[in-house]
Amino acid sequence: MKDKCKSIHPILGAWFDGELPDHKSRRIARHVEACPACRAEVDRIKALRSLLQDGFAAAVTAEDEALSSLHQRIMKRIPERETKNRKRTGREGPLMSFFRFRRITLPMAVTAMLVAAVFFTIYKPAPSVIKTGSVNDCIVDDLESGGRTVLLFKTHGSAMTVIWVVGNPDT
Amino acid sequence: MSRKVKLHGWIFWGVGLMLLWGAAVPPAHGEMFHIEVQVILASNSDEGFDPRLLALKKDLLALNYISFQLLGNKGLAMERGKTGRLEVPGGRVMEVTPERFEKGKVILHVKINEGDASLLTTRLRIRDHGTVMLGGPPYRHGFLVLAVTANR
Ligand SMILES: [Zn+2]
Repeated sequence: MKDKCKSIHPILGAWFDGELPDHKSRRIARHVEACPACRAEVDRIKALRSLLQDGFAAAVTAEDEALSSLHQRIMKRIPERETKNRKRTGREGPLMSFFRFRRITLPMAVTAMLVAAVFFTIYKPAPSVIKTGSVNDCIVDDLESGGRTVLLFKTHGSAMTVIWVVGNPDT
Repeated sequence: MSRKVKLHGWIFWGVGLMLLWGAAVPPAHGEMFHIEVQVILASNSDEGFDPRLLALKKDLLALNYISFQLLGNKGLAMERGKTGRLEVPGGRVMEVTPERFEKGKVILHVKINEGDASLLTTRLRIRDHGTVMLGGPPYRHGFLVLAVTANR
């Protein structure tokens, strides 16, 4: 093999696919025309490409057929399934039971999660400081008095809660 | 058709969830609260007991002062989450925020500031129409008592 062929062979694939700049592409075209070895290599690449393309097309066709037959089978089963469901009798195939599982159980799981989320958002056990159980029932959730003493008590009268701030922060 | 069925399913569940959410979470806006604050001066002077405070007499006398005078009275109608401000004698400001209503109680955030300093910050759960007394800040010859009544 000539030196020129050695340098061209690795890029013949790219040339065949039209990925090379024009000047380079023209130079290779001229060489391929004149060189049997390189022409043979181009023929090999051509055959390989067409094989791959055919293979891909065949694969796509097969997949399409599989999908459309699956689709047809599902379409065919839906009315049957719904009739069966209305009568609440009959047995469903594994395929349809999978679809029903997805249609009902997934939203149900999401619902359950949301209910739980709502519950735990609303429900917060309160830390009670004082609880009187009267008409003036009051729970002190938190209290901050900047270091001052605070008296917390309830009156004898109507068990009213009193928060009494005493003195200054330093006393 | 199968897509249509699936879509209907999701619409059904979506609407269901929204209704559930609406039922579980009370509306954040439009819920009104009424907060009444009576500013009272408690002292051992000879001014006597202000007749306007009769409803609170038993509770006020429990504070061990002789004289009780109503200095001011303010009613605030507030939307949930909104903060109402009230000037309190002695250069103090009271901020009241009804946070929500829960299990028959108004949850109230109260903050009393004296100038730049915070005198008291508290969160209370007051039974609907119940009253709580916040007291202690010195004023004139006595001490201030703020009787806070909350209802929804
Ligand atoms: Zn060559």
